[in-house]
Amino acid sequence: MSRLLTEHSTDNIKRLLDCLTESSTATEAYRRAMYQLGLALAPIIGNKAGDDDELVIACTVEDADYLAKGIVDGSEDSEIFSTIRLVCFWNTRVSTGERWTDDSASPIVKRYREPLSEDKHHLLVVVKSIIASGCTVRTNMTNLMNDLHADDNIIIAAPVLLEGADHELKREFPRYSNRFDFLYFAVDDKTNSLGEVLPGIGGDVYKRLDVTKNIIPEIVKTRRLRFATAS
Amino acid sequence: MSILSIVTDKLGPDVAKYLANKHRGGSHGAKGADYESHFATVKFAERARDLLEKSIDCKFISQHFCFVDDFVIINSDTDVQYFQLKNSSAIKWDTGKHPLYLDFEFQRELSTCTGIRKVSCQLVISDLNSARSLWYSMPESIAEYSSVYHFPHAANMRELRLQVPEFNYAIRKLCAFPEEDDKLDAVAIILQSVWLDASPSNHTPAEVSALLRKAKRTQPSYIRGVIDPIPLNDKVKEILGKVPDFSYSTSNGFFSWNWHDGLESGTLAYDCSDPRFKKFQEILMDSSPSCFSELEGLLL
Repeated sequence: MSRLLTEHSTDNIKRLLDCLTESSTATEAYRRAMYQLGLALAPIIGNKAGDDDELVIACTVEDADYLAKGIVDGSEDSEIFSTIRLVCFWNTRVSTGERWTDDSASPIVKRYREPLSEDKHHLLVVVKSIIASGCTVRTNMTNLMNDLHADDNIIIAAPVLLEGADHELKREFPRYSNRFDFLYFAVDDKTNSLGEVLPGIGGDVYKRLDVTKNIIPEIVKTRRLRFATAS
Repeated sequence: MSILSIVTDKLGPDVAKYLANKHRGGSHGAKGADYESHFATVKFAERARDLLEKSIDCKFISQHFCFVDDFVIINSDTDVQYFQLKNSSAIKWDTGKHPLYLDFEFQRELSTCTGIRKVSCQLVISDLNSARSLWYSMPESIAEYSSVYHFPHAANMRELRLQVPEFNYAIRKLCAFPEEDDKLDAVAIILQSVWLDASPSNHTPAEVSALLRKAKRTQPSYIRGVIDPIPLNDKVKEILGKVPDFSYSTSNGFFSWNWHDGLESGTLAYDCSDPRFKKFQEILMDSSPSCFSELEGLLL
């Protein structure tokens, strides 16, 4: 197994990544590590902000209260962005086989989407704990494309990426790929017989975080109160 | 009378030996298998659409014991279509020890002998230039019942849907949500998955109606249902009507919902003819949610 760390990986980030891959890491410590990785991503994202950008963070349900919340909290603390919006997807999976490399789709079962400001430039950050096939990222990005302006920028962010996943995603969006930026701390180039990335994020993220696909994240419950009562 | 006996009688023992050996060969590589399963999935989508719209059923066979054998569609006892698939550019009608055009001629002869009055043979080829060349160079002897069709090789179902307009059209007709890419992708994958599981052969051809039933039983399927309007219990309507800022609708047999002008939205992953929808309604009536936070867990 070989892992390549990027220029964004500090010693602290490396420790957090190791915490994820260590099988003995308990659930609470794993959750904290994901949250802190999100906090670490926030300033790097902030460096890419334009004047008066609205930050839109798109995540999947399992990442909402940890990795995505870290980015949200870190971005709110920095006060770089005028507004921050969260979009959370509940995806299911259909596939021709059990391997992650088998042809698959990630249809959206449910979506939480805060209203985007129509008169602002957006920086969309699609965040995922790990990007391998890119199926879910692709699905959720496609879902949001119509909400973006032609000159909005997109960052695809993950602590770990499977080698080549970024090229595959760019290939899937030829019209938009010049607006993509990828942000990650590590690249892995090995997978197991099921197509899971090694060392990746230490296995099945649902098991490691001890969450199910049917949860309602706390960040969604908290944030929606302000939008549901605003109107 | 067996196929080999008919071939021996009508075409000679050498041709019969050729046919027997043709089907003793090993399986082709992964790329060929993908190409064939992609083609089969496209045909499945097209014929499933015909079934839903016109109640026309048919049977599929893969690797049939015949000359043009990669894929066969049996429309009726007297109307059969045969397809030879070539994921390659180096194809000619008349080269090699067993020229391709002769396979087409033998197929026509064999089919006619077995009572099939309407025979069509199609060469399916992945390279566009080769397809054009083969079309123009088609031997006159097979032109009456033969054709060439360009079917591109694709890396995955999504790419296939984007490259083959007929496939995209058929999937949109089958999908309960024809404007939603994620659901279209899902339907394409489900059809392919059902085809790969079915592996219909000589001995067990697959009816499209049976394949489609299996596809609709997959969760999720997003294949449009045939029951409309959905059979919502009056009590359920009353309960849902009282949840503030909550609305719902049906689309081709699926229950979709919306809360607070799209702040949250979703779709049940099963259609209203599924027993799970009946169960969903029962749970709603038992729990009688009065606000969205009490309802949302039931919507997943």
